[in-house]
Amino acid sequence: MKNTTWLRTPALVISAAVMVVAAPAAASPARPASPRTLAALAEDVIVLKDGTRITGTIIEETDELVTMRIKVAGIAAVTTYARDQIASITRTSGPEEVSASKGPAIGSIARVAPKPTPAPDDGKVRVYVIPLEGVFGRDISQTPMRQAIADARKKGADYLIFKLNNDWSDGLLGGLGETELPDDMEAFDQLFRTEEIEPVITKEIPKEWEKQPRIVFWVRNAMGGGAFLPLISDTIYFHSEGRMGGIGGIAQLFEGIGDEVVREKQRSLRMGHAHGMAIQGGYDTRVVDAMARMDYVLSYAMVGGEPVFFERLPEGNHETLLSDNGMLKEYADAMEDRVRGRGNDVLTLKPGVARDLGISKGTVDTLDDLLFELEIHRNYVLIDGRAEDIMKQWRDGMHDYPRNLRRLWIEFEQIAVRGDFNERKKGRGAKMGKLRQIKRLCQKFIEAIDPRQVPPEGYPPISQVNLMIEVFKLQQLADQK
Amino acid sequence: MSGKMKQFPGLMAGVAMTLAAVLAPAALADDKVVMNDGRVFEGLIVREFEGWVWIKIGSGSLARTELLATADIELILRDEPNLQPEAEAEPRQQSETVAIASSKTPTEPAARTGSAERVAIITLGESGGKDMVGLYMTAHILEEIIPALKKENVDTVVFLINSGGGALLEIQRLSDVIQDKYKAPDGFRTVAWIESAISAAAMTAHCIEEIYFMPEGNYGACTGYRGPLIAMKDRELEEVVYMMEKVSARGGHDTEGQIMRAMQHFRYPLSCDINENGDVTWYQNEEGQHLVNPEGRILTFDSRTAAKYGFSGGTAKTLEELEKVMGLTEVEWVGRDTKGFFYPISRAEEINMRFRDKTYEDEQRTREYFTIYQAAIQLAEGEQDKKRRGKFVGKARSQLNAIVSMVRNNPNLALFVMNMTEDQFEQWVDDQRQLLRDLMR
Repeated sequence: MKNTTWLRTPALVISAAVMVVAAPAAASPARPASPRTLAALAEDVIVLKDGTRITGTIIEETDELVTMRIKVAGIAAVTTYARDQIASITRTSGPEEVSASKGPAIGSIARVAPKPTPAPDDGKVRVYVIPLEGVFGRDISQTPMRQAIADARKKGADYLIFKLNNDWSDGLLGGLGETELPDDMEAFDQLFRTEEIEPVITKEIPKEWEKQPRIVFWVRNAMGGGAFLPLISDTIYFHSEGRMGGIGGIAQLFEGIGDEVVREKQRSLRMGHAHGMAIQGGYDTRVVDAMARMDYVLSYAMVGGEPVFFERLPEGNHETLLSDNGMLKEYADAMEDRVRGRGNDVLTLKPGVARDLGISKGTVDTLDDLLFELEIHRNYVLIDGRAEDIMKQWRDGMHDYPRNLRRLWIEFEQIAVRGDFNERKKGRGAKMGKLRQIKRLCQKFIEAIDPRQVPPEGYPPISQVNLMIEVFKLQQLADQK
Repeated sequence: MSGKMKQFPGLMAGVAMTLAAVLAPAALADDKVVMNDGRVFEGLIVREFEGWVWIKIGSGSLARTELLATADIELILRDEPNLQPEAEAEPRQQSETVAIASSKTPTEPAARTGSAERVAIITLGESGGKDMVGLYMTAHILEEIIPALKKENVDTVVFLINSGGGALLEIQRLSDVIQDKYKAPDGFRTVAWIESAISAAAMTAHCIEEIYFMPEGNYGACTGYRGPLIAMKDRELEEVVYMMEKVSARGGHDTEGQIMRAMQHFRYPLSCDINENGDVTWYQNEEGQHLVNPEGRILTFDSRTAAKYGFSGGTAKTLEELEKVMGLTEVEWVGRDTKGFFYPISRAEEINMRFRDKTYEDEQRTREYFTIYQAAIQLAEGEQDKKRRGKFVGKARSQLNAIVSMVRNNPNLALFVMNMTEDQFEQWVDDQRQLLRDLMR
């Protein structure tokens, strides 16, 4: 990592944190809250006796304490206040309606009309959560997602929340899967797998759902191909440990192979595809460039609450470096930084920066917090859907696929074609039956199998299985009693 | 594979006749127009516009065209294509009665309002490995579907393009068919709607003036190469650049093909000026007001840059948005609403999709066709009993028919799969048929 003098110093960061603690009701110092966010924060108001005004949602009250969920700098938190410290409480929901201007007594509760919410038949917003876990492109694949989305449609979902936490462990590299891979691992070309998956959301939902659901991505690990998927939605939230990246290395693509002009073509077309993903969600394509191209330099400054980008190194301490030109030796990330996810040769989005850049709308660690951020926490019903089972069933199937395939091939080999004509005919029939089973199994999971590994362990591809069936038919034709 | 090559002109002519019969377009439609005064006109409705209907009656030198005022028409009986939607749609009769001014929804194909523009979506490439230019996107199929488009009274063809490129040899052919057949005066308003047009796919679309993007759309990266990323060079490169200069002139996106050159090679930077009227002047250098593509990079437009520099006429995600950017005030989307598709499937598109599906299946099964064919021949050659030999010859014949059907559907497969020209393939088929006959003697 190139340590420029313009990077934020630890002292600045600490002072910002102190300010946040001292003034919990303040909006993010880096990015003013949007009107929608302000509306959310304006729901319940507690005014303390020292004059401090706190906005949020009261979630619990006792005779002595009031517990409120507040949001600070995009991060939801729960705080508790003693009633004897409170001058007044103004609530926005509930049956009573008392204007704060009437001057409620200390500790009394003022109520205003509840905010309108989307109105399904039962008056509640129906929320459906689809967990996307496991290896991207294998466990997270279009078929189970399509099934889960169909279930959500059947159950009348208003909100589809995709909880994305794709596997980014050493298991992907043949390890035990116990160690998280660093940010600088590269899997840009999983973009093309994403392009096979995302139409179930971007194309099929608009076509098949009469009432369009709101699509929300909640990101924990969105790495490799998983980094592109949330970009199709304009509503992304991050987990506090969330990260989005793992798509660097495009500048070194096909290094050493062929001619540079063709390598550049390959980079160009890939970035064209990647830009398309970002544009679908309404995001700045330069962020994707910074995530993908090691030779791309990008900085930003917050101006009027919005990020302003510069395709150069920072030129003042109000600017923040997102990615430098790691292809140049003097800017290349040190190994220590790469291991710790502190490198900036390519950008890996973390909650704070993602929020600054407008990629993330907020940082939430629980579903409750997310629903609060979405302003539906007061009036929702969580649909008891089959998504978890559907995704698990697919994952288990994928997990068992190589073993099942191996078993079928062993069974195929064990079938003998011998004896008299009828026995030979029966043997061939059994072999063809086994080949058809193999074919069905391969076809079921083919979308999620890395083409380089189809089928695994050197077994013949489907076209070869078809040929073998035809050869058995021909052998039968040639056989004589 | 048997390599016995013999000349049998008679049989070859037979094959050609068979091919011609199979490839012949469907017979012209029989539309009927019933007038208020009871007269009935039978023929092919060739045009409808602002209260008038043109119907072509008779054929050849005896054909005449009648101009009928819609105010005098009681009803029109149209000869409809026999569409077979994937699911959910009601079965429809071959002909149906359609009121002239009836409202049109995508589920009611081929009904026409008086002045509405009839628009058909034709896909060029699709996901799932069916996108290669030259294999799944061919001049042959574009030409094949024209009769169906005309039969459906299509005014505007929207090519929805989703392809990562393919064979250089097909670009000129595709460009010529689009230019000479689709954009011809008696053709169609021709539009490209870009989901993804990379390399040869972009080079194909480049002859079309009217281009729109999907939000995720991309267009460019046209560098020619072969094998392990070996670039075209020297004269070979210059020839392709020149070919694309001519194609660029057809599309009229710039004056000298500067945009395409920037997509082809990184020695061509691209910049532009945009005046207060939005007119764009392109420069093959970095001196313009807007640097579109620096030297050392290959240009690929995304939907934002394409719109910003006026290369696209706008960005549309849905048919409704496309109508808007195309400036269509009255539109009839030709085809039937079909499960799994966001656009109606016209008869022409159905043919186009079937072509791709068959090509895909044939591509997967090519090895099977040839292996079983050869094995059956060998078994037949080794069999003394004529009756049993006949079974093997029959098997070989069915495999040969599969090969012929494969190439009939997609003539380019003769080249891609067998490295033969179409003529050589026909000769080879003749030889094989003779071989099979000889085996039965």
